[in-house]
Amino acid sequence: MFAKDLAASAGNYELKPLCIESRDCKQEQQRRALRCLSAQSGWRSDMQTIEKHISKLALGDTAAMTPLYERTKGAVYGLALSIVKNSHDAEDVMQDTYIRIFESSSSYSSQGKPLAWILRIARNLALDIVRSNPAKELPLEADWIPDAGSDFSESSLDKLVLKMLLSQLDEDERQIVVLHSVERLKHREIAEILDIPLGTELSKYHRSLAKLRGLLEEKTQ
Amino acid sequence: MRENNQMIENRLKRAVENSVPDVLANVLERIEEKQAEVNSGAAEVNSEFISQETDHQEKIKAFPTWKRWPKALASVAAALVIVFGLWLNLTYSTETMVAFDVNPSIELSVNRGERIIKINPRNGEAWEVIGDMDLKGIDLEVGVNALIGSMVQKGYISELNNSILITVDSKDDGKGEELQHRLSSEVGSLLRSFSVDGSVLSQTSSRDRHFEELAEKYGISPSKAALIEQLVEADPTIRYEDVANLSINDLNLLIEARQPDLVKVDISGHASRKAYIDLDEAKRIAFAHAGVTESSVHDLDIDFDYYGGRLIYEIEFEVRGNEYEFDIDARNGTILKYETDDEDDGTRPSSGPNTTKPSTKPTTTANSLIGKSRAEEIAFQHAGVSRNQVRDLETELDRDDGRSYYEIEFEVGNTEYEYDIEAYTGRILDYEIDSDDDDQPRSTTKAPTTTKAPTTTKAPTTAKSLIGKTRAENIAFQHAGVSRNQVRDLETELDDDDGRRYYEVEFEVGDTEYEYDIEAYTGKILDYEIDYDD
Repeated sequence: MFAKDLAASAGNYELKPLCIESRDCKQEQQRRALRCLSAQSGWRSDMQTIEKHISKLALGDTAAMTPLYERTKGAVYGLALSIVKNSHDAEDVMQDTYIRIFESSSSYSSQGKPLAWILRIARNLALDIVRSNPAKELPLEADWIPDAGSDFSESSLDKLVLKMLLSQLDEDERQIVVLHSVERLKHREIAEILDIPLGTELSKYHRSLAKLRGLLEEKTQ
Repeated sequence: MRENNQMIENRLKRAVENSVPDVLANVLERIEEKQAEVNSGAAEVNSEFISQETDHQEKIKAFPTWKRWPKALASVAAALVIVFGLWLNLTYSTETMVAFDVNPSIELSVNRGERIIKINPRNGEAWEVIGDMDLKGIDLEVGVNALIGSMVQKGYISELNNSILITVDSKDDGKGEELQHRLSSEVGSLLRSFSVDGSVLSQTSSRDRHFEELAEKYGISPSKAALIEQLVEADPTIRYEDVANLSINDLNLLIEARQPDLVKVDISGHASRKAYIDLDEAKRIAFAHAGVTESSVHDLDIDFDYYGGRLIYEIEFEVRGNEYEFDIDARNGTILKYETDDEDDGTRPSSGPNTTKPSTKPTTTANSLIGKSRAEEIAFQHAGVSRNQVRDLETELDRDDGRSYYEIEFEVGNTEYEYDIEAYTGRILDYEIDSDDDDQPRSTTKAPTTTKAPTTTKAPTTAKSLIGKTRAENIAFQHAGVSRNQVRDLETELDDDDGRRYYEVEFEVGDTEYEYDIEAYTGKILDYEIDYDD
């Protein structure tokens, strides 16, 4: 059963675009993702798998933590990082999030939105840290800042974009962009998690992306 | 460097995913500690209840934390037996059984926390619906969501077949009723979210040996048996064996037609008649067969009813003092019964491919057997097959209730035929056609036993007719939630794949492309694809 769960989540990962830049490839992946959504299978069963893990945790089956963690770690860490803006605190938030998931699993009531539930836990824990110590703002890790040279490697560009996100966008904007890019959540879902109107979410998203695009263009000219 | 949003997002995704720290080991360790805390707390509380049972020690050793606490082990172990027992009781005591019947029949055992602890598929369709979903341990609501979604996706619930029966069997009557209503409204809104205007029948029932026996006898689920039991009790003209094989949608239609007083069943919505010919079509068939025009007809009375295991239109009317009565098979328009008191036979056209004219006058008492081969010929002719197509032919002379008849069984392709033919007159008493790849529920057909007029029956599986392009398109539109005038670039083709005929319906609405494959005879959605073009 365990192996099956892993296989199932691996199957779902496959649906997310991993190949980039090529338009054909992107379109094909979007098509696959949509077909999957329209057939009410992929997304639903992905969410069901997550719910199943939560249910198992509620029954004391701690083995369910591993697949749950593997499936959600990117989004949880990304969201935590976008709020606390440093990897050290983000790591703490991440640990606490999974412990909190385990502790509250028995009170989780299904609305088909287990991921939103998890992300809300992570967000609250991260906000606690920020609110408890507003002055604390660690500098970004040095190796995130690419060399000033003209030759940008792909991975240093990736880091540069993340750095720009953390340093140039406001708190809401950072969360919106991270959830949209890392977890491919829908705008409606993001608006729900952040508890802001959909229109606000959409305009912030577009403004943020335009800002990041402009900054990247500037840096890499 | 010009990058689009997608590229920026992909960069972010990679940057985040590549920097995710590995905290799993820490998390697991902390969880273990938490669990140990909880258990040791329980141990103190429960130590006075130490019991002699120690056979659960194996399970205790499964928790690695215990190994570090050798001193506390004994009392803790005993306490854990109690905790574990309580937990087992909470988790595995079946509080409630919930059954879903469409044609797939699935039973779920649910514990007090409304988590599914056991899934019991009652028929082959149920296995198909469940597929590789593992519903064990998940919340009932989630499970129901998944099951209904799968039934819609696999075409078991559609606008042609929109009825579902929910049966709740709870030890606690009040709770059972509450759950019945909750599930009923939940499934109703779930179906609406799939663009199906569903009809939900719900009942509470107690697990009764009687229903189990009926279920076994008729090869149906106990929950469906409970529904039919009520139906038969409320309307004694309905025979159990005739309706046992009807789908829930057909039973629902029957309930609507007969309006029996079913005190224990709640029904919301209306059963779909879309799999059936409509009333105008039924009238047209009857008038054409009688050779009359609608304008000459008076005292027209049409009922949607059921007879001999199938749903029919019962049409009665008068033309120039002559009374006509028709039973028309609602599924395919076959005339099952035709009676008129018009003694002048000249105006009565013969219909259909059925050329068998068995002697039907009860006064003609034939006193010699027609013989096996003659009986077989009658069956073959009725089935529209020839002797050399037939496999596994078995014919026996049988006797039941003082009546002698030939029991003839044979197969052609994937279809099994069974006929009972009166041994002296050659009249078809009963026949059954069972097609393997027929999506429709198996129907048993009793030939009408009227002796007043010749009966015309057509085999339902061979008389299947195409639903037509327009109907196929409408099914697709309804499923897609669009109207015909919104649609662009509509293309519909009749296609054939692996012997299955279907309409391929393609169209666009706005930036969205739709593609549907719709079974050409039943209107079942075999496959669909929705593509958003950006």
